[in-house]
Amino acid sequence: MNPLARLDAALSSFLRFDLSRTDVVKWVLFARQLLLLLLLSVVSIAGLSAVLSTMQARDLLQRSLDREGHAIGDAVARAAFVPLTLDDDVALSELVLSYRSVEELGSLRVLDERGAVRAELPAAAGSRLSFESVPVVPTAGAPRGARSIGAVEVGMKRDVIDRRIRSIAATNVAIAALLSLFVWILGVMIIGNLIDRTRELVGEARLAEEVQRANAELEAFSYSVAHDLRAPLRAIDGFSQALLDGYSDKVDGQGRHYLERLRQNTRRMGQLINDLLGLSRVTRGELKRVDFDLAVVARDVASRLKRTAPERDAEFAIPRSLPVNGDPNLLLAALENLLGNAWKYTARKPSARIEVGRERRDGEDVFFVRDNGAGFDMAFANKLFKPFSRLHSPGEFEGTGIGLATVDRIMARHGGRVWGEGKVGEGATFYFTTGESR
Amino acid sequence: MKTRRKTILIVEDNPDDEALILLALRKRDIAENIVITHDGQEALDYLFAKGKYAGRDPDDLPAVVILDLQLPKLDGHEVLQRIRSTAKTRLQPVVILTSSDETRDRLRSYDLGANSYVCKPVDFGDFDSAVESLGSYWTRINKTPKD
Repeated sequence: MNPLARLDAALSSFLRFDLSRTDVVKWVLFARQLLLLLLLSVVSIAGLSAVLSTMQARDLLQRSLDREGHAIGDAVARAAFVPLTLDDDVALSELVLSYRSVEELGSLRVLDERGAVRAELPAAAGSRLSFESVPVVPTAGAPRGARSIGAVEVGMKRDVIDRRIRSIAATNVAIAALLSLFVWILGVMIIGNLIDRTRELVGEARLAEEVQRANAELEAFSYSVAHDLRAPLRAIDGFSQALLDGYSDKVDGQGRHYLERLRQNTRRMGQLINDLLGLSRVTRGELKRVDFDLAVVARDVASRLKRTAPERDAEFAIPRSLPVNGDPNLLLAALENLLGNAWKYTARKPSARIEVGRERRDGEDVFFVRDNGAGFDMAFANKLFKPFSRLHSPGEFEGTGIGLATVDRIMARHGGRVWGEGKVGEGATFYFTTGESR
Repeated sequence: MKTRRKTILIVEDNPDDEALILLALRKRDIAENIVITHDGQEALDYLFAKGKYAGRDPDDLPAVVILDLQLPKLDGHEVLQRIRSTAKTRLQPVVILTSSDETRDRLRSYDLGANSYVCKPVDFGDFDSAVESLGSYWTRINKTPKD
């Protein structure tokens, strides 16, 4: 993970920490300003250090040049005295000329005690020089207190220093500029990233808010569907029953038949409302993932189904344990639908077998619910999961066509999927995955 | 306390549901004294003997209040809250009878101190037996705090 990505992750978690508060944006703007300030100070420190180091370099160079000049003067003074070449003009000239190759040296003159020039390396034209005068004094073997018998005058070229300083300054400035540029680019990237992330997060927050609002509306809608649609149905059913109960002498057989059909339809519509509510319920609310045993849930659903028709010859094959990671309430609703279907579509088999389990298919672990019931034609397999679409007429098997749509939505919410395989008359198998991160 | 006719207070705004509840209660002669109120405020007026029930004996509390949740003016939860927060009616048995099967409504009702929560079934047969059981249980089997 590179540092930018890490920063981004940290920032995201910080922002997510309290995204509901609108002042998050203010904080980010503040952080941006702070970063900008930090960036500017880094850049100015880099510039300042370039200037300071250049000044220091000038000082050092000046001193080293002075030292060099003094050293040359000293050397010439000794050489001039030791063999007493001060009297030998040719030797003196040779001595002076031998310093010609020293680049920093602008001029070199040897003067006698009266100040007359005895030998000279002429001053280079156009150079500013700084002069140093070193006395020629007798050294070894000379009587004590001997006085100066001449002087060496050294002129060092100032422009050599200036040139060197310029080149040092140029290097410093280049380094400072590169450093600043690097910090600047990094900073701009970070700030840009910060702004982008903020925008994204604010967008996400807004989206989440919208989703929440839409969910609340949906909830209000289902609530009113539950209350307002059920009430009139109950009235229709109730008053039909009241007619059947209290007015049987006034209603003939045909009339009673119609009233019965009226009641049948109110029951069916009641079932539709319940299933629709179930479908909308699996869509809202938070998905709470936990590890639990799906086999326990399956056994529970199976025993409840068995109790509805104890006389049926039906066998449920459920393994001892089926560990799963998902929302227990939603997966219970899914199993209720899948096992309920298996139970329903095996009703006409003399001996029903319903199996729940897990197997490996195409490299992934999938759960399945398999039955030996009525099955279905694979040509219509794509219609199985659409709300209200059914492959059987109500005369064959009761149903609202919402159950599998609900299962589909439950698996989709888990990041998994559900699909079915079947053969008419031989049974059906429904496979599902719960999008586990294993 | 003298034995008196037990009262059931019904709070129901839907006239159809009202008729069906009465049908179920009267059929098996559970009805002893049935009072129908049509919104939350009227129900509280009855219980606290105020408004149009000003002349009533405020100590004569019903055996049970059968309370719908979606009501005009004060809703069922608000009515329940007021009943529980008033010293005189604090222990009053209250049964929620509603179309809502929402977990949220159920939890809130119990949270506010409902004694029972019943969903109105769409099927009249089921509705009939639910109301009948409620009526006979709360008037014949259950002992109220004052019995």
